[in-house]
Amino acid sequence: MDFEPTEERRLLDEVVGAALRNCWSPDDVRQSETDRQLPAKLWPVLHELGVTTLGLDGREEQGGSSLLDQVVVARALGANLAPLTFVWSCGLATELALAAPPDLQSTLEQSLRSGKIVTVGIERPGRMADPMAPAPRGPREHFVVPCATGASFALLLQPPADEAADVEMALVELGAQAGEPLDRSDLQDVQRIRRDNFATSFAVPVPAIRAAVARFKILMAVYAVGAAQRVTDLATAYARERHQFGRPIGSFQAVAHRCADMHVAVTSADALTSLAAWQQATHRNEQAWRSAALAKADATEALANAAAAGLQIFGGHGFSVENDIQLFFRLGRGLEATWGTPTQEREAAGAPVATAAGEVAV
Amino acid sequence: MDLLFDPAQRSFESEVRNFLANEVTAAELEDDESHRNEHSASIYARLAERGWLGMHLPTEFGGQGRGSVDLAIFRDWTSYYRVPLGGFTSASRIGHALHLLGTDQQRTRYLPPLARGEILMSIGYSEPESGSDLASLRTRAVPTDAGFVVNGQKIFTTAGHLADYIFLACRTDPEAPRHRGISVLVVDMRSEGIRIDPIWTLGGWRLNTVFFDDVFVPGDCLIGQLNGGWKVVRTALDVERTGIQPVGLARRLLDDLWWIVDNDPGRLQTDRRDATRTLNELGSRVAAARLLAYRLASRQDRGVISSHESATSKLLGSEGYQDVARRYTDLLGGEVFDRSRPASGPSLEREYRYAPQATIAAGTSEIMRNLVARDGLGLPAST
Repeated sequence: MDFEPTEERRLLDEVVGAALRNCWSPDDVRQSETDRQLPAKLWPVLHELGVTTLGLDGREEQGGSSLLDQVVVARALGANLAPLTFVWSCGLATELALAAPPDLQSTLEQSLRSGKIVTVGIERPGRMADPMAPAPRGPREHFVVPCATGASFALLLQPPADEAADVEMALVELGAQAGEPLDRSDLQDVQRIRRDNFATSFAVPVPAIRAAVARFKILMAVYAVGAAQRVTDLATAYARERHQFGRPIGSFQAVAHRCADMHVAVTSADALTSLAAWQQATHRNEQAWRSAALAKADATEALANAAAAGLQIFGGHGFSVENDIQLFFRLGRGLEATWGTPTQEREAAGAPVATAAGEVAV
Repeated sequence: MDLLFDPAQRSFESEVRNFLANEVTAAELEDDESHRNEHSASIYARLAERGWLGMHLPTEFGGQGRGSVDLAIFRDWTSYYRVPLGGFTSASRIGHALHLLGTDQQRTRYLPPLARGEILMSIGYSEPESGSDLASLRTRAVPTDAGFVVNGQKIFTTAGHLADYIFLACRTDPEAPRHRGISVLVVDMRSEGIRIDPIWTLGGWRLNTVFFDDVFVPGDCLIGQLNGGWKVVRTALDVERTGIQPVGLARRLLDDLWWIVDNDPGRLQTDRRDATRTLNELGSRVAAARLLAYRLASRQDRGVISSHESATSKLLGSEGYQDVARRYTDLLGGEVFDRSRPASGPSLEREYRYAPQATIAAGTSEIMRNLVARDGLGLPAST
């Protein structure tokens, strides 16, 4: 067994981290709540680094190792409260684009290679833990499109109407006025676009959508782990600095144990996420589908819990909008409920699948 | 054993519920500015008309002489209706301390207008470096011939930007042991040298930083003894230590969720059986917390003041509320985070941002557990 990242990935982590520190800060996050265009300024930077096309390059010859590179990037993005565009565009949309009919596929691939953002629209936010599960209720009027501001295209996904049907997908070009922005408090930029944009559609084969969704959940989980690690660092640092009763508050067991619990939960979610990523990268598809869902549930829960514990450790100071902890708190609660809720993800994960001797699985 | 309110309490409860359901409008309850300020002037004025602002003060000072159970009933239901009542919390605490420890002149000067809602008072305890460890406060009041000169800074002052007076804990003897060098002054917020800055919070409401720069305070504004302020500070905190407020908030959130289960199950991300199980699990804890809060209030009415019982009740109420606010997003999914109101039924966007303060304000859960362990279980003190 080898748990260590390669030298190349260590370097990638450094490069992405440095770029983010230069051009993205928590103040940008605050500002993007009123200025929706702001997150788009990060995209050219990531594109310049070559990380936005990781999902397109070297897929076959590297045995899917591009996912492990994407994992490094998503983790750094989460730690820096960067927009989720990478997770949606590179994790999900890119994978779905590769399953599109050839002409659309080449349009999308060209767009992605030229630095454009392709995102995804979903009909039933929250019920997407298993997109192949038939949707019992009639079609809705709108699709919900995350990271739509600054995106060129959205791939709209529609769950199958019954057991025999396929997941349907349609491509829509996003203009400046395409959607109606939602006013959300969880730092996610989401627009609604009308259902009549769902025009020429095509079926997505089940293996393709499972692979895309598993990759997306893994990157979402990694993003959450990165954020949860940052929360743990911030809260722990404060517990060392803040003095009450003549001692650092971190010397009180009540506070120290909270910090320790955060660390243990993040470490555990990190391990589960690594397992899911390794399974997906090594084509253990059935196991990866399951682990990805469980990792996404665990990691986003770990982030939401860590941020709540962080608020408690910062006390009144954490409630000020000037404090970064409350940003992580809102983000974490929102991420938990993005795609599937933890309960839905754990249902979608299903029962354990057979594992070869000597392999760890969940 | 009798777990029912007595007839007078029952009639008070229906009076309060009737007032909130029929005399306060939905527009008043949902008014954004009131929630930003933690204070609704229009509702406050009508509470004053009913005499409820001074419900626990003696009648000779414009109060109603009501007990802790009545006060708990009032807070249970005003919380349930999510009435922004930051001003009331300060008024009831400060009124209680002034009544017990003020001079006759101070009682006559402050209590009747407080009960009539003509003045608002804020509590000035917390400082940037003094939260749970309040006795370490540094705001300095130097005694002079005519009174005091105050310098320093208070933070997290509820309704400080609306208040006429601040009930200020400050250090008057820096040489004395920390609990013995503190005095409490009632300071006019219009005094020269006071500056108020907003602190906007996660929950969306405004708190304040209040700066004091050579503020002169007349000598007759000292409450209790010079350097005897620790007792005044503690006395004000003895009121409303039942944990009932978060219980009211939790009950409302649970009722809103039950409404969705019954009337719009399409909004649920789980099936109804799961939602029922979850809500019943959470509801049992909240019901237990509510019962304990009332038990505590009735014991307080019989003269039993117990710090660890208060702490137990506060832990149950605040953490029970936080649990509901933690888990409802799993039931409702991402729609929760949309600030626009749904076509019908309750909008619950604010709840997840509001709940975290419950285990910090008015005594953190860490301090409450210390009280339970030390005073309740007889374990050695940790500090």
